[in-house]
Amino acid sequence: MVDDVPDPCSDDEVRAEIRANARAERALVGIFLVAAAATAAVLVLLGLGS
Amino acid sequence: MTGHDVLVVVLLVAVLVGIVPVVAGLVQYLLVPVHAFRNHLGAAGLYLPRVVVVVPAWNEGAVLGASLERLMRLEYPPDRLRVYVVDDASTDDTPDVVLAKAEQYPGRIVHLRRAQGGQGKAHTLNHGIVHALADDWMQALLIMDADVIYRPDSLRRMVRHLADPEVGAVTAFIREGSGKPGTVSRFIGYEYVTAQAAARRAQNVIGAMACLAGGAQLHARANLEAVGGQIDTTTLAEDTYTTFLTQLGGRRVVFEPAAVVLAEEPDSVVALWKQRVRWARGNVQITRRFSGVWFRRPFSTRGAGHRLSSLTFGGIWFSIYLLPVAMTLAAAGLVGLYFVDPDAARTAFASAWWIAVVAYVFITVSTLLLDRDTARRSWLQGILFPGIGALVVMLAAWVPGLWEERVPDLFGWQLSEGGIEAMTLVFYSWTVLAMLAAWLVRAVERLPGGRWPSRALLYVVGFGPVLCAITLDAYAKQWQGASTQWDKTEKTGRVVG
Repeated sequence: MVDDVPDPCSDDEVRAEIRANARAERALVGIFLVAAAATAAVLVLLGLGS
Repeated sequence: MTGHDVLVVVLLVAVLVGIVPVVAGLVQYLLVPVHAFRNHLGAAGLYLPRVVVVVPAWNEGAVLGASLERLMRLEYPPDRLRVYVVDDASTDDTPDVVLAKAEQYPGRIVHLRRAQGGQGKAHTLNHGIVHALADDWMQALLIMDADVIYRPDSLRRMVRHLADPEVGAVTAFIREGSGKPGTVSRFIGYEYVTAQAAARRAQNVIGAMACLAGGAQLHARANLEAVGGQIDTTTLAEDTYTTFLTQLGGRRVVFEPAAVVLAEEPDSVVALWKQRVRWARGNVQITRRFSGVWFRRPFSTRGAGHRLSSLTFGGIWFSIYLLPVAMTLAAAGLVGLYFVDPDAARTAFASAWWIAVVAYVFITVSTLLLDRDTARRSWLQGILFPGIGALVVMLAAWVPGLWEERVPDLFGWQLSEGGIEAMTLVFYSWTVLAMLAAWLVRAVERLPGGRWPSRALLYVVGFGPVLCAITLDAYAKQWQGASTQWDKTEKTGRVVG
């Protein structure tokens, strides 16, 4: 038996993919926060070492 | 103000100019999170145009079979996709490979052969574009390189932006995809995340795109016709030229980070040098050709349809374009200050490299998180991108006396005054010394058995300074009026997708 595979080019699938990609882009804010925190941590460490 | 004071100010300004590209790089990365809210996905929609893919091929027999096969497996309606392989009078088995695929996929793969080749990629592309424009079937045209492997969802994710009639062209994220990448390929993999996944997101936010990646340029038919129905053949940066023309015509260019395609990149410094000199010379030509564009409307956010003239875009463009000059000025400023006003030199050195540390940590962490697949392959090359030498200098700026006193103390050594002076001058002039050492990296690689010593040297010098040196070399070649003949990068079929 073959499962019904949704057509990736159907209206529903394309719109769902756009929504998923838009959600994934919001992870950029998290990346920014982690990078900012890491930068602050390195500055503190270097400050302590100097 | 005495002459001495004036000299100190001039030298401090030189150091300040050297910091500008570092700040510009940081600004670009600070724009990346804005892409979470300011991207083009809101205007994207269901749109599946009839697409012609043009693949320029000169002796690409080793790579074409795999890339054509992947095009045939795209998640895209088969009746809406045709591939034109433009064979630039290849002398290898390229025609056999294409004809076999054309037989396997009748009507979907077309072999176009130029009787006389060797004129370069743009001429080859134009041969295919003329055929594509000859009938009304084609609604969008995708330009790719013969070695590029398209992921099944990549084209679908690109075309959705053409649902917005304001969009003229779309580009994808080209990821280095060699199956067994060497050191240079890994460095390039990391660099591509910075130059594409990060920088092009920032350019989406700004509303001005520097370049449609050569291996993934999707054009709406209307845009292709508006830019003249031809690709520019007079520069070495035909993709950037088309990108600028598109935007100057009032149409948007969008980067789609979720459309990922894989490409084989050079794995030797010699091959990298050849490829990047061509790119950098192309950028010199573009900068001159579009000299009327820069900074004309520095603060405008709307109107005239493009933002190439904005201060932000111009600042980013020239920060990269003039990077070798800035690095040289920084070093000259610091060394000059060392002899004129040592206290000012110490303060300027610490301040400049303080900013470099902030930029380095923020950019490296962001880049490694932006593309986890590349991070797994290239984390070491990401951390050592500026070079071990630059990291040593960063520590010297942050921890005064570290290398002159503290480290030698650990071994019971004491540096002489002359030794400390020499070390200080090396630190101050490191940005220039690293660029010069890049030539040594290439020279060592050319020696018999020089590959591994060259790689060790590359880690010390850093990939960034090597790219800077290549840009400097490109300036020189352009200045000398060297021929603008197309110099193809060899591809061997290492990509695993």
